[in-house]
Amino acid sequence: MDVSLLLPLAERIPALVAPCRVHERLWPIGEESTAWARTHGLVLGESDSTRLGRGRFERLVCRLLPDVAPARAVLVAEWLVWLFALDDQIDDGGLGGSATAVDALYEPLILTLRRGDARPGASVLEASLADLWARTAPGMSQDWRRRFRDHVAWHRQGCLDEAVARRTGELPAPGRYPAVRRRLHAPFLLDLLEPALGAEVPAEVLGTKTWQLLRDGTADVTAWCNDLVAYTREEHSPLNHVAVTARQLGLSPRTAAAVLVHERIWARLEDVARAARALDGEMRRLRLDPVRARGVSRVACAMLAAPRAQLDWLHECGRYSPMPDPSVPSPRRKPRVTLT
Amino acid sequence: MSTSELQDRKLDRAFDHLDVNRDGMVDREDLAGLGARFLIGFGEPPTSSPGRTLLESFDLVWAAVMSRLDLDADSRIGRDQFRRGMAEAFIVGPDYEPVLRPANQAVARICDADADGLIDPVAFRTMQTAYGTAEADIASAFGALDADGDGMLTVSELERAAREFYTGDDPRAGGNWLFGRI
Repeated sequence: MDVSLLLPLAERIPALVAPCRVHERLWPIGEESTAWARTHGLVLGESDSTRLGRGRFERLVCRLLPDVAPARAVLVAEWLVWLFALDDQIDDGGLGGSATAVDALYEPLILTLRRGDARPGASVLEASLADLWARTAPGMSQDWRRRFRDHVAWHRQGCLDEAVARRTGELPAPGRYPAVRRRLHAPFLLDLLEPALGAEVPAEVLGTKTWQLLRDGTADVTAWCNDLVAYTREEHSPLNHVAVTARQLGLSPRTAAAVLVHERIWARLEDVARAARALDGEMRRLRLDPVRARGVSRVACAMLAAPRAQLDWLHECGRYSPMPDPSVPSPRRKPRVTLT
Repeated sequence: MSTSELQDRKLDRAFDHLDVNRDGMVDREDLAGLGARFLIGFGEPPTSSPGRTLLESFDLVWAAVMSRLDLDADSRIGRDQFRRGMAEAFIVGPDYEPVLRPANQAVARICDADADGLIDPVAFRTMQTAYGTAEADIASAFGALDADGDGMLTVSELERAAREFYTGDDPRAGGNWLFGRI
């Protein structure tokens, strides 16, 4: 579906009216992350000829993290390349309908994170994951690492749920659906904000209902916006929110999309705004010192920027548009520049 | 170019607003941290109009200081460099009106959430907490700035205080008390 269906959110919700600031090193960050993806065999051939190559994930990252050192933005962009490569392997590699096949793909990835390196003869996904983890984990606490690995395991479960739903046609009950969909939306991605920003959210903050609402609400909004753009009549995940809403309410996909945008995403954005307003009070109640309060605030601000960042990225990336005619040369790209 | 001892003390306080980990160095991410803490204090997202305006204005403040020091925006600077950059940009140089004043206005705009031109003690406290002002200094700052003693500050009073704090050399100016005793 057309991303323009999401425009009312950016036009009418005060929290989303202003575009994100963009990292001033956008181009070199994109070049670096693309080079990494090629070196690790995740993107082959002309970038614009593959769905993964057309993702332009740096455009999302540079909106979420406009102030971080370029190398940290590159690392997050590379994590996104890796995640979408995994996603594409499941969807395009014919594994999507088999929970057993998905599990077989995912198990070595979980082991890679646990071991910290890739086994001999590792797949492209394993080797690149080991490289990402080796550059992400240092400096982060054992608690953060455990949380990250737990969220990767949740994502595996989300992929398994999707495979089962694809095979059986059965959907989770409406009350359970958001949590099931959230697992599929790679919950570990939000954890990456912390190493990128050089801050860890303390356990006492993570445990508050306010933080959970901020985090889950952000994840839901971005997942559901993604679902709207990713939906096509012929091909979509059985857990796609447009498809699920259409089926649950007996609506056409177009009407289901309108319900999704104007009721569900809208309401979830209000939840996120409520959490944002409550966070300062939580930090005072917990007596966070200024260093930790600033770290939490930076992570929270990145989350609050995520819905608008994603809307603008969805407009700009080519991942959800029809593939270009290979006989037509791709538009000229900016000259290669490097980070200095 | 030299600044007075009073101005140096105030610029040192401004440095401390950024250097929350007290390692004696600050960079652009420290200013981003202050901006984020301020926005979260008021529950303001970075993608609202006032939120974006504030963060952009902070970016320009940093760029002006680094430009005066002839450094790249990604550089880290110490207390003396910060003093010199701030003084050259905003006290001696012409950057107060186009750069620092809009940043102070952006701060005041968020403090005045209902746009009635008034800042109440709760909003003032939220602002000061974001800057890391000690509890005792918050009350004394409010008392010093509330010239007519009506329990509210006007936006223009806050803006005038900010100008006096960041640029002024008059030891009797009320704005010296913007963040409490200097």
